[in-house]
Amino acid sequence: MNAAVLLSPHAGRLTALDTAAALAMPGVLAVLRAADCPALTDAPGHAGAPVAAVVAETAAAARAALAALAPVYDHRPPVVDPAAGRILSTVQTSIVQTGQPARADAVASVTAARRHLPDLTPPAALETALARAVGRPLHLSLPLAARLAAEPAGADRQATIRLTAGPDGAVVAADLAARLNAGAVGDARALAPTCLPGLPGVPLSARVDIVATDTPPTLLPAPGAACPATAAALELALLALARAQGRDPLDLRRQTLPDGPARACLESVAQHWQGPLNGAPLDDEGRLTLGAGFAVIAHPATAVLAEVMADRDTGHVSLTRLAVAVDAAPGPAGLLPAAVARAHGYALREEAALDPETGAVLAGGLADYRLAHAFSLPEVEAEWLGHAPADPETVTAAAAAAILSALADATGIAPGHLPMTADRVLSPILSAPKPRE
Amino acid sequence: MRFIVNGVERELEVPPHRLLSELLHDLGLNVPPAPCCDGDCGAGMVLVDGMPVEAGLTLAWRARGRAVETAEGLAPPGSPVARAFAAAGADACPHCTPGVLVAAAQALRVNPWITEDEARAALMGNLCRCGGYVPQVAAILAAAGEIQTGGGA
Repeated sequence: MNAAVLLSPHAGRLTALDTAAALAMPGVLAVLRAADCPALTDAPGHAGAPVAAVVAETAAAARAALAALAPVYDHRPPVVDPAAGRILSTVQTSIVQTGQPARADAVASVTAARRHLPDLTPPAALETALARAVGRPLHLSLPLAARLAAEPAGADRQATIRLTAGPDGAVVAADLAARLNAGAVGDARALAPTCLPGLPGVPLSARVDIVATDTPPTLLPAPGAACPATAAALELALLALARAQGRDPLDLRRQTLPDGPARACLESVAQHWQGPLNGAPLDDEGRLTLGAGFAVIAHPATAVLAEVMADRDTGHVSLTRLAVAVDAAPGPAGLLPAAVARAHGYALREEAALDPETGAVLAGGLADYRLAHAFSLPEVEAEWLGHAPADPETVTAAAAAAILSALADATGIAPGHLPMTADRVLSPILSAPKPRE
Repeated sequence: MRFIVNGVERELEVPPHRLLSELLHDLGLNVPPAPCCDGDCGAGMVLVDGMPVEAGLTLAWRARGRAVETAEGLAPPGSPVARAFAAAGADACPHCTPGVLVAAAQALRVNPWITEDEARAALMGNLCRCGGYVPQVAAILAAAGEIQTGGGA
């Protein structure tokens, strides 16, 4: 028994489906619609939502019958580009005001792409739902491109942070503007607090908009998991402030953290810190440059130090060192490396771009959605400083922010995107005047 | 169709559209039937006459008269490769590990004096979502050491 599913090409409503034609095809046992199986829908909220399924003796017969279904949809132009201000609605606006809006001494803005997590495993939930509906075990073959479209992913996010410095150089106020795209699910109010920066003791003025669009639904992260866009924007703004003050970024970061678990984590990874590497060249031509960066998340306390090597000719960025300190009890050996692997992909490689017209996922498979490979990842140096279970999502957010900060140090560019793919690294380098000429 | 699976001769009825991965999966072997569906992930890697093949992209009848080896045959429990993977904690996850074991055993069979870079290169056809490459490479090198000192392949 094999199944194949029909995915909607856009958000809208299914108005007609030729189930009789599909049922008449050889080897076809059943055609399922929303009324037959809760995993299917007549009102797809996004491109890639499963609307019908065919169960047949072979996978080939199921796929052939899909083509006979001739679906007709009623649909409006989808709203899929929140970065361009195109949203269905603002689900919620959260305002936090513990201080006056800051005069901007340093600004950083980061946009983070949808993130597919935690695994790219076969579509077990959909397969199980279809098997329940027909009352028999079956095998669902769904290409990875379809799985990227059909399954919820981490929300795309945007965060801009402005910092104000006092007379002694310390951060005295922070201003955050953040947007989180909850996609077709819409209700993601639980996520708003995750967008706030962890700057204990610093007066904050924040506005977080959670918006609904016709993009695939958002997977809700664990409560308390920090927002990687906010974390990266905060570290990049602090880096810009330290540069403007001519200080070591570590000194400035220490100043923002009172004694406590987060400070202890920072001090643990700081043993690997030799100051900013300022794009130190590895070769005579200045093609390969080195950079170091760190990131701290206050709750649950996590600090990451990253070193990268950037290739100014190709835009390729390699992660050469990664140290993590968490306020948590030692966990399974693979826990932190897996969190770092996801951060590496999130910061540098993994992107399932959406068609701006339909919201359909453009990535065709693992050749486009680029996971880390055997040469991508260094050994993770881990320090466990506490007693609670570790939160891998927070480590992922901190590591992605640290990698971006190291990239800024290696290249001098302001990395405004997760992921910083080679083209995003290269275009500001190509448009900047070349320092070595 | 007659073929050899992990050294045992088998004779089976095979429909023409059946994938090698589905056939091996139905024989109870740990070969995912369709991990990524386009051969990029390497989770469905097996050896056919000693050469690595993506079983999820190969029709079963292509193995007719040939010798197929899976992780069970190449790295059985107690073998240097299996023990090294267990010791390094590189066998934690069921998704990519069978294909990684095949790639590792194949690389060690071709070259037991494998270097770290060669071990990484041997895994370039395998993607691991958990990023467990560091322990996997360490396990390959540990197994290589054992094979070199006479632990057997």
